[in-house]
Amino acid sequence: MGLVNLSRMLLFSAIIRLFLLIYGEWQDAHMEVRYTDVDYLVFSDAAAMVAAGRSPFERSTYRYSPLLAFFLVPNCFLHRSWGKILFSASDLLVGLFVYSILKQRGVPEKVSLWCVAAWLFNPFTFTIGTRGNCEPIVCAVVLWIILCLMNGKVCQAAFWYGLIVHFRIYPIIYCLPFVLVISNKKSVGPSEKPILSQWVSTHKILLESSCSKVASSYSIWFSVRAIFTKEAVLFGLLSGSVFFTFTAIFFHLYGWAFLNEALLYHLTRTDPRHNFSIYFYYIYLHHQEGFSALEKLVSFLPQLIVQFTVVLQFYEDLPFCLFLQTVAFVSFNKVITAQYFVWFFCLLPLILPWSRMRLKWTGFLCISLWIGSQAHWLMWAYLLEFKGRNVFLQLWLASILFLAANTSVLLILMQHHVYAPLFQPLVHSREENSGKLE
Amino acid sequence: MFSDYLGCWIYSDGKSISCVAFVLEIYKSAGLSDPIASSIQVNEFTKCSYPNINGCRTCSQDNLMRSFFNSHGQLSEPDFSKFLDKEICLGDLCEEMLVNADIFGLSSLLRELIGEGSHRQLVTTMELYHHPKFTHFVNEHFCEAIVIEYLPTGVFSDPFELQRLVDREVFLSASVFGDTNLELPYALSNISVVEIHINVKSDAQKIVVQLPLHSRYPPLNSSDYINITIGKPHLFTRCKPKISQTADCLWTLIDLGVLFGNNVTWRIPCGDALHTRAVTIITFISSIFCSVFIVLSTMYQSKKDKSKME
Repeated sequence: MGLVNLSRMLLFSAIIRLFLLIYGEWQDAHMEVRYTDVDYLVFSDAAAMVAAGRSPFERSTYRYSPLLAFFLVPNCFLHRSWGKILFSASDLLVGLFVYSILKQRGVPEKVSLWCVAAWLFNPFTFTIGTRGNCEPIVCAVVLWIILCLMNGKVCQAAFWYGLIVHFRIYPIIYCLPFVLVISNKKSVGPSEKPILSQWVSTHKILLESSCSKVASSYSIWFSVRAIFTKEAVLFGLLSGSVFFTFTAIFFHLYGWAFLNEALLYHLTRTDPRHNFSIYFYYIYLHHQEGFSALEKLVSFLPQLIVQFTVVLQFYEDLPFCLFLQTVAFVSFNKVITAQYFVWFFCLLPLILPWSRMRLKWTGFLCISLWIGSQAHWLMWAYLLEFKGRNVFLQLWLASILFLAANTSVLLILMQHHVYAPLFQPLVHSREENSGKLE
Repeated sequence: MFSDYLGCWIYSDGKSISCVAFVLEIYKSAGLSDPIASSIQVNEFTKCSYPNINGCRTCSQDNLMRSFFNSHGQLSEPDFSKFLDKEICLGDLCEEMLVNADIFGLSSLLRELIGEGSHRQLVTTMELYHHPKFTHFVNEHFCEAIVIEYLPTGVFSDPFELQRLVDREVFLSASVFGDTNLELPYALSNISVVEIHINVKSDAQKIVVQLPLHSRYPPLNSSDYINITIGKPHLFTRCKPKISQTADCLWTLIDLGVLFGNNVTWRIPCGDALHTRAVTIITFISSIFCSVFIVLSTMYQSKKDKSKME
């Protein structure tokens, strides 16, 4: 690892991505199956509409914020791969942010670089950006928000949070942990920045905890009361204002088409076509009849309960909490497509230094479980879609197996994780403590 | 004498004419009906009951389906056939027509659906009947073949995919009318119509049209698969003289007649309504079970972590 440092890693990753971009252009031109994702063509067409002064929502199946179409306008006059370059650059930015977060938390250089490599050289992540998916931008912004919070910059974090929820709705699930972490009393350093708890080797963690003996509250009621600190309210108001401002601007520009396609579609989406979600066959079987209110509630409840439990128990260890939330959110969602996996892949390097798990053999077990169940699902999906065989039942059972695999991997990660609050809490004296508790 | 005669039927082995029409044509050639001979047709057909329907219309009206869709607002096939007859038959008799009306004919037509699964290609192979004047005529004119496919509810064509084929010059143009929503299942969608224009070259022996199609999720059926049938296409040619400045194009609606043998059938897998109850129960149980598992582990883990911290 002596020769390896962050800049060399970033440079090498950039070269890989550039190579894939060029290869992608070649494959699109010469082979039947395109390298570029269909979504990228949708973005490009929408960007062309915007460049021509029209609404991006005239392009059917464009279901994103108009901001994305604006970013891709250079596709029309620079080069059609401009968007892919932007997404790949965001990809590299995620690597940089991961490194920055880990170094600020005191993780040693070697461990940090391994974690950054877990993102930059993950085949899943470098194909996502080069194929033209916009998820790396979202990941970069989420990590930037974590960095802002770590440096006490609540207003900046609020602005980016409002923006990213407008861009892609799913980060709304992070609002509770953000608010709880902001409002949780913590030590403040000489420059008014909160003091981050520093990494300790997991071998030593059982003996010397850097988290100290503290009255961090276990009571849910106390956590709820804590939401209403000044900073938390500021965060909520500012991010809400940013979100509504962008929504208002685009509603003014594009009317109901924007609201229906970019927002409401995602909230009410029930796609009966096959996808990784366990609900797909259920939705297909019920599609003509519609769904009763009870059914909608029952399908929403597991998601809700898991989210709340995870947040209220783990919010202090913010990256870990966000990771668990994201995995659970994706796994229990009504529609799961492969690009959603990137949402938690970008948070995985942030928790690896605090994991007791070793690659041999628990790590391999997790990877095999997850990839194996996915491959198994893909096999049945291939038989259904490309061979025309009736394998709906088998595909649905494969999706249940995938949920089971996701759950198992989540639990194994949870079990091996060393809980490490992001911020050093305030240290109270014993007497103060007992006074408070009474 | 009879090479330009309008009253011939074209078969796969050439032209034939009925006895009565043959005799009457002899009288006409002998000058029996002069001076009005040139305006008399001795066949039993008008230009509109001739196997191929011919007419002249302005070239600017180049998209038949769009005209029909705009004026009628719907896509019913019987209405479209009537529309065609009216539009083409009532076109003026342009000078070239009498001479060249039977240039285009098919000697065979093959329809097949290639591929497997939800994404296939509808291949239409049309062998052109080689009229002696064909090469000369096509050299003097810009000619295109127009295929109009009526797609039933269960299948659709992706307009963006068709546009890419146009960009690669596989087709001259391609348009989709009717239901262009690519995501809806069968039960919520409607028929659509695809109009494709292909260039016809003078050395063309046959015209092959490969139309990429995709299937929708069909309605539930206990027999595991449903069959969707795609019927025969409408086929036209449209020619415009290269040299003259006329705004008129010669249209020919080619009668597929006995050549059209088979409808194409697509077998699509479908869900079974009998599964509904079991699938619903097991889906919800799995979801609840996994979530409860996560919640319990979270609480146990959290308790463990916090007790370590004390």
